[in-house]
Amino acid sequence: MEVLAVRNMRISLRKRRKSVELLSGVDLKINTGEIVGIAGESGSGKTITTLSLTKLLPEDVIEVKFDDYRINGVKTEEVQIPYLRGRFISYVFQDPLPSLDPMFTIGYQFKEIYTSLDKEYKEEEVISVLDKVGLKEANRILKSYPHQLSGGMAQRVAIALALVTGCRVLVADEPTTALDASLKKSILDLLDTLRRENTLSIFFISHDLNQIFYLCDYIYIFYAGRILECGPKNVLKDKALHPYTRALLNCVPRKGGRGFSQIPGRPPDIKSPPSGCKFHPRCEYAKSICQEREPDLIEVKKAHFVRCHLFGNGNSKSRKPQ
Amino acid sequence: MEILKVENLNKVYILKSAFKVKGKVEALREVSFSLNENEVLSIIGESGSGKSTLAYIIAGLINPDRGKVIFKGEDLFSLYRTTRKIRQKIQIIFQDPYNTLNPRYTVYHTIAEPLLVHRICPRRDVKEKVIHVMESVGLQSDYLNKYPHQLSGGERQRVAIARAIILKPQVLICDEPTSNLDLSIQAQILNLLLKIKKQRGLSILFITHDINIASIISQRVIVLYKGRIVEEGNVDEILSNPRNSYTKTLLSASFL
Repeated sequence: MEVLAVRNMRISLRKRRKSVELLSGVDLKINTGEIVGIAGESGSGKTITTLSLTKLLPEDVIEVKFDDYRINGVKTEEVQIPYLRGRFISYVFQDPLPSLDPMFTIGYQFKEIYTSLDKEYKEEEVISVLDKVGLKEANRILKSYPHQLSGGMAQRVAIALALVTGCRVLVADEPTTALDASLKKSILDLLDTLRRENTLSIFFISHDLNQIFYLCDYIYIFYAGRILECGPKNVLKDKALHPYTRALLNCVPRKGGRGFSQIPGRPPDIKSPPSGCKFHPRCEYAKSICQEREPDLIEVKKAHFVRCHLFGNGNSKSRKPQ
Repeated sequence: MEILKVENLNKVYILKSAFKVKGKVEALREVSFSLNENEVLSIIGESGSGKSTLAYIIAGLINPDRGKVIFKGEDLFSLYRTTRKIRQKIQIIFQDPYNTLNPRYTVYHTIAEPLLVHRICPRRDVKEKVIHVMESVGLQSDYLNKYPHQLSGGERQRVAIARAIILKPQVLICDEPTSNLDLSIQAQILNLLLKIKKQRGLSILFITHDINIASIISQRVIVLYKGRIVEEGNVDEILSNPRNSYTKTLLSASFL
């Protein structure tokens, strides 16, 4: 069942009467109980995409537009989108400690959520959610302040705060980056259990492809505010087509590998992006057409889309990456 | 050939509030190992295991409570007060290139500073040397007058590497040099480090929490846990047959 679907999302930044396009033509879709991974380098538009799902951005600077915004298959008016925050879509951010208020106890912060959503505070509900995220000593935690928690506990509290409102979609924005290597896996496993037991849908943002492939069912690869490739996990893992995805996969350090393969150059400057395909200056298969025209996102197989001139329309079979 | 030797290092941090001692943290306890010439030695551990404390002590940035760091037969901490010579030979690259470059210094100023501090060469030769070292880390000379905020993370880390190698060190300490960088840039920086090591015959002490990177970049690994060395040896052996339970958890926490 499709929970959330967005078509042709465009985000632009208005600054001194100039408009900079941060994101263009992004289609996102998530089903019930699915974990969708969003991968890309920093500045590729991962975070801003998910923040715009509830317009959690300064409205005077940033313009967000959608062609179509559907929840459970029903079209939603644009004015209603901010009201989805917390009620339907919740967020967990990268660093758990700054996202908790240091002045108040955890218990107070749970109460605050209930009041802000005009609901009655139910302590049993909070305790059961804390139990779900693996925090057994609920009473002690509710009384403590954020600085008294360890990083892993604070991240679990942040997840509990996101879940307590009964949201259906959770956005986890690099939830493990600030945590230790030995804790990372336990948080990923927690997210996995949550979606199984509560049929929660999760957007999982990360630049770590290891984590994405470990957790996600469907994966979007972002680059310079565009989707370059998207497809189910197994397809992208073994049969990725876009040169960028393949290069990125090669960059992942593997146990006992020999040397590191790298992508030359640097990510494009979003204020003056290259013409045509945004990846062509760093692409080893770039041809003249790549500079002139930006390719469309083409469906090559079922649910597997690629934005590259090398594929689709049969117009350049000569130099396919092997 | 052994170039650097660490003997029984101990370091305790004392946590103080305004009036009393609140407690102490044992950052390092009886840590001993040696680094050979032309070797990359990785030190793995989670945060709080004492990795960075170890790096800072070897670089001479903080003093140990007990123990010795011996560089080519000379004890570092008996010499520091009297000579700067030995400090030039051990250089360090830090984790976060966003905080470790002075925002008010241009790239030229940043890279030239060590030359001026250690009075390596006459001022008129400084520029030539800076441009030469920038070339070897892959920065064009039009970066000379840029400030850190104009650079990307990878470029900043290149500046940090240039600043470290301009003194022609023999030991380079890398304290998680890529943990704040993107995947595609991380590989660029690691390849650059390996290239520089080859060209200049450096020994590298590579501190990381990523076992996969350690397994590619080094032959020997040390696993630190709560300030102690819990395992030491050949990378392939430790990866295939970890003896310590902490090493096992670390290994199971890395994916793919």
